[in-house]
Amino acid sequence: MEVFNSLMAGFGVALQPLNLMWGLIGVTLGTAIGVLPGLGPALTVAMLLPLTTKLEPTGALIMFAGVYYGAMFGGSTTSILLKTPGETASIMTSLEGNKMARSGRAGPALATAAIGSFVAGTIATILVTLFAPIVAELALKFGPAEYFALMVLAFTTVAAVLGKSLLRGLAALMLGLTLGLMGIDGQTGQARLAFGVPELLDGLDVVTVAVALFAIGETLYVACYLNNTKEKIEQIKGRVMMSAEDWKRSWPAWLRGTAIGFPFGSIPAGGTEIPTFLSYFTEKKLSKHPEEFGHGAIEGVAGPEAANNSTVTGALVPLLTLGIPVSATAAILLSAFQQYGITPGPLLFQNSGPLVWGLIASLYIGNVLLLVLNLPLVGIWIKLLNIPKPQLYGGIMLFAVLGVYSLHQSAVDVLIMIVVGLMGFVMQRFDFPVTPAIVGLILGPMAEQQFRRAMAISQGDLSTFMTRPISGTIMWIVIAILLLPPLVGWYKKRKAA
Amino acid sequence: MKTNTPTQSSPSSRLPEIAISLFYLVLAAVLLSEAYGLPVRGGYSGVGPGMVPIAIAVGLSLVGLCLLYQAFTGGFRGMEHEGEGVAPNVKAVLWILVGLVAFMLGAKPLGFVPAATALFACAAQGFGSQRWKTDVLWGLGVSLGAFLFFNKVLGVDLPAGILKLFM
Repeated sequence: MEVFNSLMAGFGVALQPLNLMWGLIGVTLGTAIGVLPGLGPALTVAMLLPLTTKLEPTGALIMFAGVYYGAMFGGSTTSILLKTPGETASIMTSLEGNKMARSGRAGPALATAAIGSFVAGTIATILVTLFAPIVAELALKFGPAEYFALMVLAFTTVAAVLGKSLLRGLAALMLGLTLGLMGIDGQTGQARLAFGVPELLDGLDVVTVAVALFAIGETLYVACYLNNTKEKIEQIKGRVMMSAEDWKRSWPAWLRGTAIGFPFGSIPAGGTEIPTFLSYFTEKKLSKHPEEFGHGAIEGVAGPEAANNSTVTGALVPLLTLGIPVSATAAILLSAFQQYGITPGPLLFQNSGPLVWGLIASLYIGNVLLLVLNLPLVGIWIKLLNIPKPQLYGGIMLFAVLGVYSLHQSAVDVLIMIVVGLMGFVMQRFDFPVTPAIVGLILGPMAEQQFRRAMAISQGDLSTFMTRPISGTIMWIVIAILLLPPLVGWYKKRKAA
Repeated sequence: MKTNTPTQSSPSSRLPEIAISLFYLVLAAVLLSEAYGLPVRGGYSGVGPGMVPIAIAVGLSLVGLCLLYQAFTGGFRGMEHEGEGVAPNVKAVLWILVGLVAFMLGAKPLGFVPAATALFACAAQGFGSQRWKTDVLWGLGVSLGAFLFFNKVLGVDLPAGILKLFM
């Protein structure tokens, strides 16, 4: 009942005309950037961060959250009509979706993606509403050792899960942790890795690094290798609505996708790749028409798309209740909270009730808005795909420097952006995942702080992380994640030899 | 989906992989030398500002050594790279870098609008645009709009530069 009352109060906040407007701007912008290849939600929220100087926190965070999950809706449009997915979360959707579009069934593919996203987003939001306060309550009992263990778990899963190689995931994470060290150590006032450059004393700005890795690195990569690949945009022809058969095949897939996605988002186990992947193969296995998979099976769009949205919404649970981001966008949302001096964590629900419940209520509203934006208005978004590459990437570059330069009007920031951007280019070329670097940059300093606090409590005894039951359990999970895959691989090789 | 068979890379692609591995080792060395000047132990926790950098340096060197091993034994494992077989377009990269450096140097003295316009046009050139005059107009329009929005609405002062002459 208490949850219900808080939620109603939240709707009171979210339905205020001004907040409603920010929400609408957020989801519209999110859809647009989701549709456009090359612009991701992390980058967009990063570029919008300067707005925090002018907006009050509730409106701004409602807008940022709108961009965050709006991009997931828009991304499915691109992956269905164009084979290149706008973001990694839509890779599975593009497998079947693009095939459907080629055989003239773009309409139903878009519909099942949009409605599935809506169903999953709404159910996941209900789950967030119910679970977040419970997790927050539980998290009040966590000490620094537990937080440190959770952050190590987040590091490990982000590094191990994303990309094809654990080693390169760890390499990206290590780079992020190193960049996070730069600046004055908060507890002793010692400068680290500043090399006497005053601009580095404050540490690297997340916005600069995110823009550099995503916008600059990605643009350089596309310019260098992919500019000549011609992409064919499929047209929407034939019936747009789903047939009764489509509905019958879609709705179980939506529900299963939602069920698979939510847990992956809500434990700090980062990434939408695994849940969308799992959902796809679950559908393939359960389908009465397995022969259609690979040639445009509607379940193959419905399931992963629902899983994707459910994961993204579920990721708000660790972000809001523990202050632990598990994706690049969540990491930047966290820094948006920090800009306002608000610390997400168990106390958020007590200290900033109207804000956090307003934000959760806005998710319900945003999902409805997105359904309207993406189904009847899909024709408008498709036009965005016709922007020629030179002008599109010219614009992306312009907005990238705008986001970085407006922080402190400093040429040094731009230089840092160029250097880190070149690193991002190399990372793209050699298939290093970018997200672990961003998560490492943001979470690294927080983890160090918790580590020192825990050590202060235990009076310098390292075993505290293993002997406390909760942190010990998490640490063993971390060890298993890191050691099991190589061990299994080694064992199989031995057996085969 | 996942294949664990090492992708045999040609010797020409091995050099950059070795360079990346060495970069990690150098980074670890830099971090260690930095931590050398900081107290490793201290306070109630026994953890000084130097301890975590040392831990990260150890992580960096382990990663660097593993990468180096992979680079020498058939290349980085399981690498997917969309531009496989495409000749890298170095000119495009240079155009974009020229645009970024031009923005970095020009933003303060010339103002945000001309510097951002130059960047837009350079980036479009890098992507093979044939119409640089139209690009300049587009860049001018977008950057002027962004400039006005930030300065008038958000109150973030982007440098006006030569725009002052017209105002």
